[in-house]
Amino acid sequence: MTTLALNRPTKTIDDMSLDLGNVTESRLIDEVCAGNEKAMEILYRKHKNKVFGIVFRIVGAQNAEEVTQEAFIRIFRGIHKFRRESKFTTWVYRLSVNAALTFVSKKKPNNVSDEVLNTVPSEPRAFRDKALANTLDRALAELPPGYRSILVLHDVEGLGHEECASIMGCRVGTSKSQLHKARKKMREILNANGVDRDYFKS
Amino acid sequence: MKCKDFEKDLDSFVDHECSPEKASAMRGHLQLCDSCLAKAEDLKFWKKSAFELPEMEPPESLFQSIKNELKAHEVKDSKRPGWWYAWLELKPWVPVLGVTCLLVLVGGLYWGKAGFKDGLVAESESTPPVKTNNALGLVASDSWQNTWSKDIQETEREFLGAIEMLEKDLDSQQITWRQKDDAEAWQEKLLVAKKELEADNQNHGSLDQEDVFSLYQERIDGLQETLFASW
Repeated sequence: MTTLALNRPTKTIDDMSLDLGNVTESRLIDEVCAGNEKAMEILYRKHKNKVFGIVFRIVGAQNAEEVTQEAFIRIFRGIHKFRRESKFTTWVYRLSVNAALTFVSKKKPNNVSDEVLNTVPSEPRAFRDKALANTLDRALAELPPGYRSILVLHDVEGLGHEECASIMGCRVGTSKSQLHKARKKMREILNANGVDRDYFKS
Repeated sequence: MKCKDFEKDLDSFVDHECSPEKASAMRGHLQLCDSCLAKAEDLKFWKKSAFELPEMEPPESLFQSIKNELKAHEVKDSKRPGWWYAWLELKPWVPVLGVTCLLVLVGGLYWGKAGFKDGLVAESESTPPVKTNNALGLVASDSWQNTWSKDIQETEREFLGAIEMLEKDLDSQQITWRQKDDAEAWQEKLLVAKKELEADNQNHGSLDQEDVFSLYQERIDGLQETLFASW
């Protein structure tokens, strides 16, 4: 029975629809390793917004596209090395954060202009105040890259400390202390810009 | 609860990660401390706003760029000779060192096997000894000297052969009695020299063949001088 089941021809990704619910991520990874471009596209579309969002908020709008491309190249070129010991998304985020931090460590920090923020690509999720979003992104850009990364992963993306620590390659305690310092610094920046708990009251 | 303690646990309180007892104590502190209340509200405001930040979407053309870049990498990888090429690019002195070591090894093996002594023996064997009228002439000739470069047993054998030829010459009266006396004296000297050579060979076992050969040469030169002086 087992032999018959194993020998039964399986459907290729090309036969399948792009409905992600029908294909497990593990299967997609196998297909990408085998060189299936369609599977690669499905994986890309599944993770592109998260990766782009993380990269965007660490490196800024001007270089987000270039660094996202670099991150995905690292992902697809190294996918056969993914050992499935962690979640695939954790591995993807780790490579993305690494690509972003490598970029900012080599590049001098740029001030994010209003013009750049206004040319941000489309935003599927509705946000009630675009000006506030720009202010928060500008405040993020003022932080050191390490603080930026932990705030983006924990507060923007809503990841837990264990996953943040795995992505950033540090201990959970370090992740917590970094978040504490980053939030404190962020509060100072926001207060200096008049953006605080009374923002909506005004 | 002091403000310092409150601030230490503020993150876990806002993230709903602290114990119910701790949360209750912190809420009690918030009712009494406006400063900590402001900090907590600021943090809640940031957290809520951050989580609601718009999701970003990259341009549609990005996937095509990624595919093109991946293909470019594939072409580059296929043209790359291998990891060793990159390594050699970093350490170009390695092939020079490798070739030098190889030459030294081959040279060492050749000279170790062929040897200086054997080389000379081969040379002497390829050149037939010069024929002389008698044993004394043979002893005096260069080709006979070359035979001394052979090992000690062969040297001894040839040495004794030369002595026998010398005795035959003496018996056949080819030399005068005066010469006979000199020849006998020389024969004794040769026997002493042979013992010396054997002792040298044992004492200088670590000497290479070239050194031993030069010792032989010195002895023979000395003997020849003695012979010609007495003749």
